[in-house]
Amino acid sequence: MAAEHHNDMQCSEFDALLSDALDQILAGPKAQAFQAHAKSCPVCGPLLAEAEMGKRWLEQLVEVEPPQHLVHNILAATTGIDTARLRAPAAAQPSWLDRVAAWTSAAFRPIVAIAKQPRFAMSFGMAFFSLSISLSLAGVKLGDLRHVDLRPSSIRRSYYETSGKVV
Amino acid sequence: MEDPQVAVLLVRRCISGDAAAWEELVGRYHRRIYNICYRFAGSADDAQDLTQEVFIKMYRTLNSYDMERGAFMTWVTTMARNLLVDHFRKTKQDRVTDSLDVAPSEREDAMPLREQLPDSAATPDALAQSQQVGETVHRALQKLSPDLREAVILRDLQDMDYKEIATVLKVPEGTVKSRINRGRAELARLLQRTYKQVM
Repeated sequence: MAAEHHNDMQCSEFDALLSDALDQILAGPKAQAFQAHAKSCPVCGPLLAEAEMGKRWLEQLVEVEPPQHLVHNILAATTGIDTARLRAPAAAQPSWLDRVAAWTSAAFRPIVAIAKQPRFAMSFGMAFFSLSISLSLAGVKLGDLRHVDLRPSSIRRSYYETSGKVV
Repeated sequence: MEDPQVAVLLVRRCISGDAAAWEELVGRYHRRIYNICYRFAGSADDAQDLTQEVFIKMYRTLNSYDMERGAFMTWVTTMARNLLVDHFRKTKQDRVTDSLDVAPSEREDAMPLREQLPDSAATPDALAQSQQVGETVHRALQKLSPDLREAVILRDLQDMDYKEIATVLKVPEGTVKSRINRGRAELARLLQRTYKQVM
């Protein structure tokens, strides 16, 4: 840049103050001399305008987002750390009991699905209701039921006792 | 607690073998380093590789960090800058600043900026809303010489002060200011040359 005088300021001085001017920290007589030089100098005037425009363009560049696995890759490349926080949790090995339960569940799932249908649920409900009425009429109380009562002789005795009460 | 103090504590913990501290350090600085690498190298793939290299080197030389000699961020940025310059030399990216006397069509790698800008009647501020403009400016930035590009990136994109930049680039503050001014002006000329209506 030519060391020319324009309004008591040299081009080299203008160049040194250009950053401060763009940072808006230039004030007072220096700022006035700077502006005067920019208006009169055919080299420094356009330089100011271009630097200002370049700064404005650069302000439009936003921060970019790093790739998701960058931190994981860095840790793996440095310490070999493959932390649980950064990695998807590995599935636990199921026990044999879990495997049997899973197999049973899978095998009976169709049957259970059918039984869960409303029409079958209603049928089961009616059957239970009929059974409980029959047992009640027969004088059978489930709370008093013992395994000995299910012997044929006990059933017969209960029948005669109930018939005698009814008669 | 201020960030530099946090960084110093993290470095101390890292040196003592605390893996969690290293993880935190990586988490804290990877975004900034990636952005410097991306803006300097130009591509996301290169930026990812270079960021990884920076952290590998940092991990190996963490013992050599001396807090008396400057902030941790300045130390890391210096390391990143040196790797970027090495990378530039290795890949022989001969992307010196275009001469102002050469017409865009004469440049063998002339960038069709005009085609990329969505609306020739809009002002720069309006155009800036679009991602396309960001991409255009990013590509224009790659046309600057490495000296100007790194100065502009550290000042205008990383918001570092002149003293810090001078430390990173190992040049006087006056040189830093001059490079920043020239870099900004060159960038404006590059964009103006192919898109005069906007300017």
